[in-house]
Amino acid sequence: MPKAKVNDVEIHYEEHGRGRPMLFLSETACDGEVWKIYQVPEFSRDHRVIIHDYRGTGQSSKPSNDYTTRIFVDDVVALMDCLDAEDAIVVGHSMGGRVAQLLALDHPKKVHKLVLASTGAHYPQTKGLPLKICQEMIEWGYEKYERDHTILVGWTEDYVKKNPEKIENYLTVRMKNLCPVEFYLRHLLARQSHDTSQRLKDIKQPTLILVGEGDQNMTSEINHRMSSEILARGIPNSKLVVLPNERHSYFFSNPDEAHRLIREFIRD
Amino acid sequence: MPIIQLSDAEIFYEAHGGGRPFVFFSETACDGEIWKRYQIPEFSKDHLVIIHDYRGTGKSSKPSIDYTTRMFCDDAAAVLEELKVRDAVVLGHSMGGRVAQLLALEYPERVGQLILASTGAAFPGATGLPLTMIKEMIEWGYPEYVREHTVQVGFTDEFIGTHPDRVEEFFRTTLANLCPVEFYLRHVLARQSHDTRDRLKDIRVPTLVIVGEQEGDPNMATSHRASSEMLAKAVPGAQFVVLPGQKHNYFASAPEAVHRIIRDFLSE
Repeated sequence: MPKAKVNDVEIHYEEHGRGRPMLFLSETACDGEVWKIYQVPEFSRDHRVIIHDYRGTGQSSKPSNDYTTRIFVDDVVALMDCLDAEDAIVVGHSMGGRVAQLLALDHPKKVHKLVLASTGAHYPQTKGLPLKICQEMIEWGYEKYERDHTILVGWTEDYVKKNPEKIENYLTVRMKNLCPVEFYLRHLLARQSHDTSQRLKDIKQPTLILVGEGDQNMTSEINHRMSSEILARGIPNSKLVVLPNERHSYFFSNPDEAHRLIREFIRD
Repeated sequence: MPIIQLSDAEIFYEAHGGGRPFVFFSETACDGEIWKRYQIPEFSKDHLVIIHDYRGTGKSSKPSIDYTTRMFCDDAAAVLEELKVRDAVVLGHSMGGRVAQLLALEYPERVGQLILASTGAAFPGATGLPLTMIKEMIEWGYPEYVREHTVQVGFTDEFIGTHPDRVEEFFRTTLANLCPVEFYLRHVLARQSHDTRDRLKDIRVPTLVIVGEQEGDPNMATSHRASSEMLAKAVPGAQFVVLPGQKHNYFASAPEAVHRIIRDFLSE
């Protein structure tokens, strides 16, 4: 289990396979383990797949100070320097897509192509902890919130009914590594204050934007369908693909179509 | 049970006794019941004591919209209009003191004297839901948080040791009337965004500022000690009294002492 001493913290990471570097960035307060279900086996066949645990998650350090997507980028950059990795294909899911945008903007040499999956550039109104999330976490408890919320935003009711074992498989990985609630909240604050909405025109890398057709849950004032369209309008060399019958978590249950689209995009 | 009907809410209020009107405003997310144990018996002897439930608390309506201290001020002003009250003594405790400041500024004809108890003009640098508070609410549960937090900030260890019955009596009232957590959070957001710092010089009525000696470090800008000192300096001609050996809830732990100070102020 390798750890890199970067900035003032230890960042846990893993590398699998050989070829062009391919970096996967997880959603809010989620460590790198989730990519080992489908993406590491698929892409390590012909890529050097790099996953890591954000500070505050998994086996990385958890300092009790304010986090920002900028700090997450600084950690990723230091890690890539340490691994001598650049010109990577960077896949960011949800909050990871926000980190990926900043990485492409401020460290263009690190990013060859960009995949922004179910993400956005900003939350225009809610800069602090969103009230509805706090309320549900207090009323339901943290673990039940994470579990129920993941299912609700992750998959359609029909999919949940027909594929309980796939969902349990994912939740087992996700819940095993749930970070202490303090760091979940610190990640939320980082996510809510992220804003690249005025800088999208400066993302020069070819960009594939993926979003589930039904990724329209309104936990904040803007849903992922809307925010993905904003990304597609703002990023010059971008292409938006809407995945039919999917919501937020297709990577971890039904990834074939997303993998096919990513391979096509890498090849172009 | 008197209720005043506003365009978007019903506000529950009560009036006790007769004489010069005396209005009490409660702390964050706390309804008017809290004043019935000590303050109504004392001051209704020679005043018309008016209490009410803020929107989101007690028997008043609980619309799921953003709240502000200005909104609480307008609700209270409507109650005073209904009762044809002018020139009242207005006492606000904690967040209620923020509402009281606004009432004196926006509806000066309603306010004859002002008592600002353990309150402040702003929370510098702290907009949004505070992380530590949300973390503790999630980890401990909502009623447990309110109880534990009140024990920490409200009463000295000595008082808790010598008067456990009175602490329990206090909790019987506050916990029995606890509003749904959504509205507690909406009140916290209202409190955190309140800022009258630039307007305190315009408060023209005689003002008494009270704070417990043990309400935080006077050198920490965020403590009630410091915010009360700041109020006393900024409100023209304000008197400042520090209650020896008291924390935040002296209206329950030392009513005789604080009532005497209030009566001295009123008789000047």
